[in-house]
Amino acid sequence: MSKFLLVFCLFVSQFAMANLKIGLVLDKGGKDDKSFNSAAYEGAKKAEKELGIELKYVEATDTNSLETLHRNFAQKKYDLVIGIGFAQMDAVKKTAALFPETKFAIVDGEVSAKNVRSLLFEEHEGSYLVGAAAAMKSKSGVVGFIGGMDIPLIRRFQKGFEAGIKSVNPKATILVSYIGVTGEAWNNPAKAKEIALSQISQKADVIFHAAGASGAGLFDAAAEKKVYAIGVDSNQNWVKPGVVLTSMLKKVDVAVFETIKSVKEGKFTAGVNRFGLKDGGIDWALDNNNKSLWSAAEIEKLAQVKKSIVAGKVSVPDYYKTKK
Amino acid sequence: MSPEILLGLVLATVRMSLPILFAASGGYFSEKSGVAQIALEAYLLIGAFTAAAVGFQTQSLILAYVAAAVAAAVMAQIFNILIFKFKANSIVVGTGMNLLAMGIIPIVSKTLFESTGSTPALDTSEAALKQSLIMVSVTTVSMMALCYWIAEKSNWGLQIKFAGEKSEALTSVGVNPIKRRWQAVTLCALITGVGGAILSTYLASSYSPLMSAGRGFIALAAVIFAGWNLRKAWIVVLFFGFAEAIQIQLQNMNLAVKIPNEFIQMLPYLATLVALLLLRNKQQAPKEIS
Repeated sequence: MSKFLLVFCLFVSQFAMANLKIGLVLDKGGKDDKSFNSAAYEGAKKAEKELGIELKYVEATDTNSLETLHRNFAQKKYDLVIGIGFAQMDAVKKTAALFPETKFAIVDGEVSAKNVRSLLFEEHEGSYLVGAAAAMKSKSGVVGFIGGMDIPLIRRFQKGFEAGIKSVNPKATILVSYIGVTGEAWNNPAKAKEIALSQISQKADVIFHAAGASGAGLFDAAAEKKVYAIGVDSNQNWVKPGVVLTSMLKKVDVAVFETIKSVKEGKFTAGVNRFGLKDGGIDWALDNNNKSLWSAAEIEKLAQVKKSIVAGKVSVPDYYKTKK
Repeated sequence: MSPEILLGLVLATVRMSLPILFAASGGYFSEKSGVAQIALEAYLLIGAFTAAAVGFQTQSLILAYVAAAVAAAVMAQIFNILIFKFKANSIVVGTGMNLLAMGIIPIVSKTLFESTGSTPALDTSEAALKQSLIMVSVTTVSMMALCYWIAEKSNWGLQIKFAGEKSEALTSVGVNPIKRRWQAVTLCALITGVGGAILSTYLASSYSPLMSAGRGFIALAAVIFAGWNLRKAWIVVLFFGFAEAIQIQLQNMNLAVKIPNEFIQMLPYLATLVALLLLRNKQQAPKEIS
C-alpha cells in the first residue's frame, strides 16, 4: 500500500510539474460581464488552449472573500495567481507576502513585492481617443459619461474622455454620472439605464460607459432612444450592432495571456507592466459591427489623434497625477 | 421646470421604485404574520434570474413572470420548513437564503447557458418593449390592488395580522397561526419574485449577477420604518425612488457649485430618513415577530 501511495504521489507531482497551474480571481462583475472580467477570462482561456496550462477561475461575490480566494490558490501550490481588479490590491499584497514562493499578478492595481507583477493600463489615453470619436459623432454637442463605482480609476477614464471631447468640440456639454460608491455599482444595469435615459433626455446623443456589467443598461437605453453608446474594456461592438459606436479596448486579455506565458517560459519578472496606446494594450475597436458607422475620413482623423497621443504631441490629463 | 422634465422625473421615480415596491409589499405580509423577513434579496434574485431565463427560452413575458413568482415561492418553502418545522431563527435562515440564491444561480446558469450567472439578452425590439411596458403596468396595478384588498379587506389578511399580533386568538377560533405564517411567507415570495422579474425583463434586458444590488434590504427598511403599515411603506418606497431620480438628475446637471459626488449619492438615503422622521408613526412592530 505504501509503495502504491509513493508511486501515486510521484505520479501526481510529475503531473503537477508538467502542468502549470494558474488561478484566476475575477472581480464582482463576473466572467460574463462582457467587459472587464470577460477580457481577463478570454486571455486566460487562450493560455489554457495554447500553452496547455491548468486554469481554475473563481468569482468574488463580496470583497471580504478576496483574500481567502487568493490564499486558497496559494495554499494549493498554484504557480501563478492573477487578481483582476483594483479591489484585489490588498488581498494580493497580503497573500503575496505570506507565500513568497507563489507568483502573483494584479490588474489595475500596483503592488510592489518580489513576486508580484502589476499590470496597469493607460485608460486616460484610450478614453481621450473615444472622447474625440464621441465628439465627432455627436450632433447635439451633448455627450454623456456613466461611471460604475466612483473611484480614481474610473475618474481617470472620465477625465481623459472629457479632454478628448473638448479637443474636437470645445463647446460640448458633458454630462457625468456615477452609478454608486460601492461594488454593487458594477452590477446594476437597471440604474445605468435610468442614468442613460436621464442623460438622453438632456439631449446627450453619445454616451460612454466605464461600468462593467452595468453597461448593459446603457446599451438598452441607447437602442431604445436611438442614440450611440460606447463600450469599454472588451470589444462590445457586437452587443448591439449599429448602436455601439465603438469600444475603448483595454486589452486585459493580452496582459493576462502574456503574464501566463512568461511564467510558462520561466521569464516571469515582478514589477509594473504598463499598457497604453503605444503598444496596442489600449485601443479603439473597429470591426464589422461598427464599420458602417464610420467614414474613411473619420477613421483617418482618429488615427491622427492616436498618433499624436503616442508621439506625445497631445498631453492627456491623467487623474492619477493631477489629483495625487 | 418644463413639463417634459417633470414627466421624465415621475416616470423615473416609478421605474426606480418598481422592484422595491414589490419587495416591500411581499415583505409586509411576512413581517405582519410574525416572521422577520430578510430574504427579500434572495427572492428578487431568483425571480430576476428565472424570468430572464424563461423569457429568453419561451419568448413569453407572461410565462416569465409566472415562473419567477413560482420559483421564488418554491425557494421560500426551504425557508418555511427550516423556520416552522425545525424552529430555526428567521434571521439566520434569511441570511442563508440570500447566500443560497447567490450560489444556486451560477450553477443553474452554468448548465443552461455556460455562464456564471448572466443570461442571454432578451428581445428589445420596439414591439417587445411596448409589450413589456403593458405587462409591467398591469401587473403593478393589480399587485397593489390585490395587496390592499388582502391587507385591509379580506378575512385571510386579518388572520395573517393576528398570527403576528396575538396568535392565541387565532388558535381559539380554530385557525392554526403557523399555517397563516407559512402562507404569508409564500405570498411574500410570490410577490417579490415578480418584482425580480420586472428588474431583469423590464428595467434591464437580461440577468446579471447580484443585480438586485441591495433593493431587498431597502424594501425591508421601508416596511419597518413605515411602522409595518402597507400604504406608508409604499409612500416611503416611492419617496426613495423619487430621491433616486433626483439624485440622477443632479449628477447630470453641470452645477456651478461642485458638490462631492459621494454626497449626492447619499441624498436618497438621507432624504428618506428625514421623511421617515417627519412621518413618525405610532404603530409598533407585530408583537410576535421573530
